[in-house]
Amino acid sequence: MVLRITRWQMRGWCGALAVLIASAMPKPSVAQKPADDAALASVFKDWRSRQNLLKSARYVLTGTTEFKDEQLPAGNPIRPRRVTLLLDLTRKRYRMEGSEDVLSHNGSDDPRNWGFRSRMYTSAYGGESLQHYTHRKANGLENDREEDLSIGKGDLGPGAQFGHELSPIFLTHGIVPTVHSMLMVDKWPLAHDPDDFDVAGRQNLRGQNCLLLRTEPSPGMTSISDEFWINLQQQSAIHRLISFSGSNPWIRLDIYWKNTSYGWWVDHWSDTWSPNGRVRRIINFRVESFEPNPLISDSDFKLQAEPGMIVKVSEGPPLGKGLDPFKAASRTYRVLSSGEWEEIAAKGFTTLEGKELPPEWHRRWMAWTIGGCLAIGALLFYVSRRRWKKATL
Amino acid sequence: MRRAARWKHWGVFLLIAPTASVAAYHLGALSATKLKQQEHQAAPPTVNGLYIDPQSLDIGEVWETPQYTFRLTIENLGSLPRAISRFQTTCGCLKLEPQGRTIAPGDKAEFAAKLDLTRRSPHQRGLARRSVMVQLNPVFEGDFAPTPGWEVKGTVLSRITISTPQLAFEDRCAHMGPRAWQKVRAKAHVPLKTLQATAPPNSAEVRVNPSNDNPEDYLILISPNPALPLGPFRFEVQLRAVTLDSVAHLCSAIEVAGEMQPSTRVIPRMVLLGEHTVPSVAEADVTLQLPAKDWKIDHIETDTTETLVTQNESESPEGVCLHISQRIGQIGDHVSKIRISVRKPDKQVEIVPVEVRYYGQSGPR
Repeated sequence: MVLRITRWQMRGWCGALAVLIASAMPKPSVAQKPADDAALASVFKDWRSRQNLLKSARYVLTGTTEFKDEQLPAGNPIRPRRVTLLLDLTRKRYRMEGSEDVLSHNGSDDPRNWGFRSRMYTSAYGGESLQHYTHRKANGLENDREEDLSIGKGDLGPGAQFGHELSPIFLTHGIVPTVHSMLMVDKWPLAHDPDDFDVAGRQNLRGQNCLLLRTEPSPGMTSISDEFWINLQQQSAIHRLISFSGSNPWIRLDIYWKNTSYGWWVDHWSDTWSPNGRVRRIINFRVESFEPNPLISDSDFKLQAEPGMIVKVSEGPPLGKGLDPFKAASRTYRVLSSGEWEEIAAKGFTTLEGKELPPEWHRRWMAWTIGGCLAIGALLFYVSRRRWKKATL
Repeated sequence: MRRAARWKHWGVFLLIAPTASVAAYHLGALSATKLKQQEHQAAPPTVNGLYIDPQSLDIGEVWETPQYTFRLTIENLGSLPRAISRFQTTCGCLKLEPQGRTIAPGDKAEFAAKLDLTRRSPHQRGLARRSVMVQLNPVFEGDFAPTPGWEVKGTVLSRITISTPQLAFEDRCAHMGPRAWQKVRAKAHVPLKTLQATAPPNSAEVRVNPSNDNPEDYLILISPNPALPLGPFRFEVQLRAVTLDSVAHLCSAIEVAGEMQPSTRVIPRMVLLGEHTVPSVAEADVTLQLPAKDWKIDHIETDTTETLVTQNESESPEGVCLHISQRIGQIGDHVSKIRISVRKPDKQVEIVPVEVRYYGQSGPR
């Protein structure tokens, strides 16, 4: 919502009178109504219970992306997509493999030259680093100079978020993203501040009596907020999640649940993306298979670097150190046939003033040299002192 | 005896060596950074013959305030008169008065600069000490684009830092209805006697609650006045840190914005019918929350005959239930508008708007 009034104005005597009346009214407390607090507590309790149901889970999702752009290339605008998602719910790790069709402009403004291109992706977060395979061959990037495997460490930045189309899987496990706590690959929103939520009331949705929760708007150029439609009779299953940008509902998730031996579990959903109030994409997903508590190992969450691959290891700058948070330091390696990694390029952090610092290894080399000198100095001092002591005895 | 002494020496060495190495590591890292920074010295301060003393461009270490003022003198060292039509800055936080001026060769012109030091990037949130750097670029008369100019820089020290400089209430406030509250967390970085938060008169109720656990932490609660007129509102809550010498320092501000809604509310705020095949009929329920029992629906208008609103006979504790039936007749995005006229006990009418959005699809889904 963009507000055009720049300053608050009292509007004449009517306003003044209204202010007087309002000031004479009793002052309500900051907290919500007790019934609302109880409803919110019940929702949080259900979400926490969901978080503790399983140790790991594997999902295979199949669905479609429906492109609704004004101009589209020839062909069916409804394209297939598939995701395999492995979750380590104890150590908050994941591995995701998928394929989807994306809209490719092929460097042209003319829709006749556009097309749909299949894209394959694999990513994993193993607790310390986020890894992505480029799938150079499968994605037609043979001539690209991009790396085959990218590894992100340190502060991964705001870009390391799960796509909203996958949110229903996380909602099933009581992991509920909001505008105040996003679903980051390295930080899952497990707990919420009750003060961030408003109980708006109750309303029917597709025959279900739902509790409507709204999050406090998060300010910005345009404020953003969420609206949750929750069925308290189904372990606080979220049947609808709307993300508002100002007054525009830019993401709407309609989620359908089924009763299973583990309780109410997600079955299928649609994710409608409407930037600027116009529907642009509709993603439909269905859970093709769900495996509770599959056996997992550390190697599931680590993407292997094969000989011949180019690997780029990026490190997000630590915050509060005067470094540009959007510019990572990186080192690029070629994996040799022996399995060793040969460094081929390096880039340091960038300061907020835009100055690029030398790569970390340079600084480390200098540090170790000085450190070594100091250590040798200390040793020499020790030896000479010992000799001097011996001589004086 | 001798053995013990040898062990002692080795022990001292083993203690010193790692400590020295760690110290050296950081010293090395620091020196590398410094060396690199020295390579990038600021550009010469002369711009088209105009000169500003670099010392006056460095404001040094200053306390955070929304109104830091200083003076800049621009001297024309060239042989031609220079007319500056205005200044362009890299952040809206720096303002110069006068905005432009012509400076004859050899002459000097004085400018009063006002810098809002409370603005910070998200990654600087919570930092008690941070650097500030603003580019000041003159736009010369006849030029369309600014000429790269000077850099105003310094270090800002904060008496307090706040969790957010903005609060968005959106549609959460109802006219003469229950108060909507939002909170901002503040942290003191210097010893404070108290923290004051003040809103413009009659615009809001503001409370400052010191934390019981940590005396440096404060919770600021802000609630716009429900008596504000309907429509958008915007005001600023100023924060003053009262230091131990009882001096109140204006050190930060919170911008509050929202839109005052009618006292009657509709749940949900917007009816999203979703995607439906053309032709078809989509349906939804809404609840009208009236402030009191003697408020009644007078009549309901729609902007199209394709939208039908009926009142359910059963009243829920939540309010009056309305059923919306929308004919989906056209392909694409559509918005229908419903206006519910509510008669108050004083016979006056309040209009409650409801927006219905839907998308018409071709063919069966």
